[in-house]
Amino acid sequence: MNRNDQKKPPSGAAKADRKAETADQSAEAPTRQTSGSGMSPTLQAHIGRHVRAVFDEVAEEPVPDHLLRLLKDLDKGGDK
Amino acid sequence: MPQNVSPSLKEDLVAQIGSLRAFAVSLCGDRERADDLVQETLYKAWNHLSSFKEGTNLKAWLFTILRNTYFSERRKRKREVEDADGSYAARLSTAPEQHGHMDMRDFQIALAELPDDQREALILVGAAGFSYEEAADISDCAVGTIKSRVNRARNRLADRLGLEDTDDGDVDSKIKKTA
Repeated sequence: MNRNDQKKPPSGAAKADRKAETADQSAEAPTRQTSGSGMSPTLQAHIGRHVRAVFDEVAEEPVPDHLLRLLKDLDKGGDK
Repeated sequence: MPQNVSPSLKEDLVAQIGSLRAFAVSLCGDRERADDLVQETLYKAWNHLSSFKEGTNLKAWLFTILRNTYFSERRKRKREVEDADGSYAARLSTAPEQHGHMDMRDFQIALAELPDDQREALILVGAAGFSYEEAADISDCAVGTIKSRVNRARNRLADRLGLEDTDDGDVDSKIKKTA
């Protein structure tokens, strides 16, 4: 339909257009649902769980004493 | 030297230390240096609390300070000792075994081997819970840049670990199969 809007497409361009269309269709057919990255939500979620696990392993450790002490010292106005 | 830091703000600050440590480790790959970074960050944050608007995103503010501290120190260090590329991954792969699961260990190494900017984007968005917009602010780049870094990071990890979708909607690893 887009082609009809154009006034006088050179025959070569029209052919190329048609070729592109068929290429699009064949590419669409076998792909499954993907996100913008071209990766399935399942795989994305799998990676996400692992990234969070690596991060949380450190994040959930008890805070080292010297860091807590630092804040207490600062709070006492001990800094110059 | 803030005059009156509200107790709730202090509590919020303490509550972010865990995440800050995890972010610091993901940046520098070195536990000891990570704690130095967090210490420096807390110190700076404390002394600049007056410039923080209470009620806005404290976590993003702290992450930004930590990141800036890391990169300015790294620039200084680079002038002194050239820190060869890949040293991060090397340190990590010689670190003592922490995970019982081979799968997790593989993942950790693959994550460490990502380009720094991709790993950072993936950690901020995928683990630390920031939006693309917040991550872009923290990393001082465009939202589109963060999105493409996250995508490239995911694809690279999948590629590196041989992760594939299986037909039953599960994820399979070629590595596990051949091991």
